Amino acid sequence: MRKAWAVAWREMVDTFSDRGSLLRSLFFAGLPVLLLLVNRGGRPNATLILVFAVQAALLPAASAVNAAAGSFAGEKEAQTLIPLLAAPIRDLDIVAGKFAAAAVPATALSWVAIAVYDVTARVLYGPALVATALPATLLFGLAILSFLVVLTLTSVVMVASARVATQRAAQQIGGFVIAGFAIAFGGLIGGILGSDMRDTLLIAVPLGLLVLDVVALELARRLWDREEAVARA
Amino acid sequence: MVIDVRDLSRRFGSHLALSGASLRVGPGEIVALLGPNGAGKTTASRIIGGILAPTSGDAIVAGLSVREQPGRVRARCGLVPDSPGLYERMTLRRYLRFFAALYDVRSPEERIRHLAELLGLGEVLDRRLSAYSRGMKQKAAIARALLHDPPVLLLDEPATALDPQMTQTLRDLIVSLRAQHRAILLCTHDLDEAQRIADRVVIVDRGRIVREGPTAQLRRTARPAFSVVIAGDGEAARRALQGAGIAIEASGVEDGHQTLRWTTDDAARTNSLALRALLDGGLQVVSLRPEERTLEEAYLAIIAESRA
Repeated sequence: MRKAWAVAWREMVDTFSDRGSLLRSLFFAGLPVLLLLVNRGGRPNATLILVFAVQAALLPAASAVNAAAGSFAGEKEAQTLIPLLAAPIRDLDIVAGKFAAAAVPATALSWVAIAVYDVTARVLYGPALVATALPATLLFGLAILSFLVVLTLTSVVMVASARVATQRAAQQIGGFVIAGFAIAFGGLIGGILGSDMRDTLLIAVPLGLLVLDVVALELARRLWDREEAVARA
Repeated sequence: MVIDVRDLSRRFGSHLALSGASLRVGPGEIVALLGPNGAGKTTASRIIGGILAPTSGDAIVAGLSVREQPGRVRARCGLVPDSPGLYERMTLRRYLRFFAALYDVRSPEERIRHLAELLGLGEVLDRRLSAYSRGMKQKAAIARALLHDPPVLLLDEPATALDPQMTQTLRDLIVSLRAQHRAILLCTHDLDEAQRIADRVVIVDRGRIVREGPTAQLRRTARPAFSVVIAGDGEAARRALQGAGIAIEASGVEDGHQTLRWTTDDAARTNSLALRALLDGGLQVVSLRPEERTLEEAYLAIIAESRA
């Protein structure tokens, strides 16, 4: 996996050497904290703390879409894919490297965002209220959830990226997937807040995502095809 | 032979990109794969480079089958595509380090320094590739291809969009690489380039190899051409020749005299007819001489013949 890591590292450095991309990711990671700060004058509200916490977990996860969209389509557009495919590197290493390059920073950013959000909320509203609104199990659940969302987004968008001609087309497909998640999580938050099945939902949703991830990863593995990539490059 | 292509075919859906191609390239030899756009040159080089799998047939590259060991074949080939295809946010040093890791290069720093010096990029090694000129980018792509010291070089239109001076530098470099006993396959539609540096030419059209041989031999295979220089009325000369059944292919002016050119398979008969017609028409013939056929003329004739 040494070569997969070389591919991943190159892509991560490349992505974050683009200031625009870096600032966009940091903005989405910091947005929930910003919203907390804007709302600090209002009455402490457990619901608001939870809603912003979900955003802190999921907004940075969406940054995986940009990296995954560029994984193959971006290389095709820049005509850099052929030299990579001409190197003695296994297909699995290429896919794994590109997957890690999209998934690792997005997951890390999401986890850092959750931690920063939690600390900020405790400072602003006091540990007692935040402990009620965001117990440790829920924070842990959100971290797992963000990881699973990153996996799903990355695998779906990477498959699209390998089969479309432009990065923009792959990003648009990623946008549809994010929209689906937004609707699902809107419903989820409503469900958590309005139902006494909160604990069941908190277990069922990650489990559902896990199943989705297994399917998406298997699809990514099956649908990524060197021949197809070379023919379209 | 370093490259031994045997009855290679490649199909993309219903399109047959390459059909039963066979060719060989020895060590220290430059073979030009010539053909119009879409002829199958790039497909052939990508199969030989282990990037694409053949639909049928095989290519043995440095003793390895592309069908059975494509990964090991890739480790023995250096590919320079028509577009340099560089990660432009990286510096050349980081870029070459990345590929050195993929190609398992021992002592990469030393090799990178050596190649940068060789290609005149030593002073810009730590500059971002986006700041490079087109020619420098192409040199960077060549450095990438040579990083692992491969016995086989696959050059796919390497001089595309380069200025004449840079093209000449690139040609000199390719010739110097031949001296290092590398087998070089040069895909091009630049006949001048092929004529200048290739030892042999393989002409491919619509996925089929239609002719193969040294450039001098290919030039001889075209119909012989002759030109006559006339002192006097060029239009009258044209009418006289046409009256003798000779089709004029080109005309021009040389040292103030009209020149007319034709091709023939029967030089003795046609040229005698031409001279008689011109002299009978009261025209003064300054000279009648055989024309040196260019590779371009031979190439066009071969392509036309293959499509007939």
